[in-house]
Amino acid sequence: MNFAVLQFPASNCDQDCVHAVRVTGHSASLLWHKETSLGNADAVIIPGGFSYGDYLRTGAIARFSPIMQAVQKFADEGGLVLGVCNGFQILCEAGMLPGALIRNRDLQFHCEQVFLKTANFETPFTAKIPRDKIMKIPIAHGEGCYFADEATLEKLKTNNQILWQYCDATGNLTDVANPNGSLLNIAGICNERRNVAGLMPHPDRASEDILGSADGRLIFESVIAALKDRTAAKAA
Amino acid sequence: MNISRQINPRPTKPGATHSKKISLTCRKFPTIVSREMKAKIIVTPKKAVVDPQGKTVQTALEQMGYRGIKAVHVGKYLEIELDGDKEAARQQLNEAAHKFLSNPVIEDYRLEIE
Repeated sequence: MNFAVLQFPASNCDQDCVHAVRVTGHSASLLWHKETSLGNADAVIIPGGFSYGDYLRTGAIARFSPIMQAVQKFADEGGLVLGVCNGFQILCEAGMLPGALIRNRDLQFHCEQVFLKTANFETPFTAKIPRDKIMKIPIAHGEGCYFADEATLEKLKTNNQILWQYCDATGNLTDVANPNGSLLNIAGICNERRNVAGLMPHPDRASEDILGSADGRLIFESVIAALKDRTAAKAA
Repeated sequence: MNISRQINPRPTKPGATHSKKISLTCRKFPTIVSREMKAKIIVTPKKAVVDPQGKTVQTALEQMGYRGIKAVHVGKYLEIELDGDKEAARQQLNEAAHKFLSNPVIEDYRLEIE
């Protein structure tokens, strides 16, 4: 499978994402944001960083980059898009995911390992995660507090769009385990169609044991498995 | 520059003909006379959104001894210099503020043009 990893001015986890894909045995290529086509990409990753210096709002300017029109079209056609950290912020700004990411409640930049509980295993981003798995994945953000109005939160719950929630080491969704004040401890969500997902934690920084955790790899492996299923379905 | 044109409007009555000299003002052709303006856009967090910056500033003010402060909201202020027609500018800036300069999920904005 071939992943397109977008590169905006001040993306800084683009290489991490490329590496995380390659350790799974698949290929990934960087795609500059001025490009207008995704080429033959099977899936898109919008990596972390501080696109455009986080000017105005995180992700607010990147969403108007030329490549984002191609990403929107790709998603409209059912293509899989994963946004990590700043990528999540960009997807929210673009309206491809509901809600917004605002300043952490304690105003601090958090760079630490967190624990994540998966709330929905029936998606292309979570299917390969073992049911009882509490994933250990690092975060590194100043604006990761997930906010949406009550109607949107209700919709997220009803449609099972909440994918990951911050929890303690044993899987309890406590306030102490919530690093940034996100509503409902939300760390990651998907769209209604389940082909666009975003999360604040960095699975790309937890893709090999040497990094302290290889749990993030489960997310990439889920996407790859979903892509293989699609290819098989097309061939059949 | 004196812009005027000789035009022949459609006759109002059968057989009637007349001509009228019409002076074109900047109202009709806003690009002819441009007007310099300053737009001020004030972006504030929505009431339902937690505003940790506002809370922290409020606490600091209280610690400094300022009394009677009920709430502080920290937002953004944008000043945009532009020229052209005021109403057209208002329409454009409202669109830009809704689409880009503010995020309607978490923020409200106020636009003033002077």
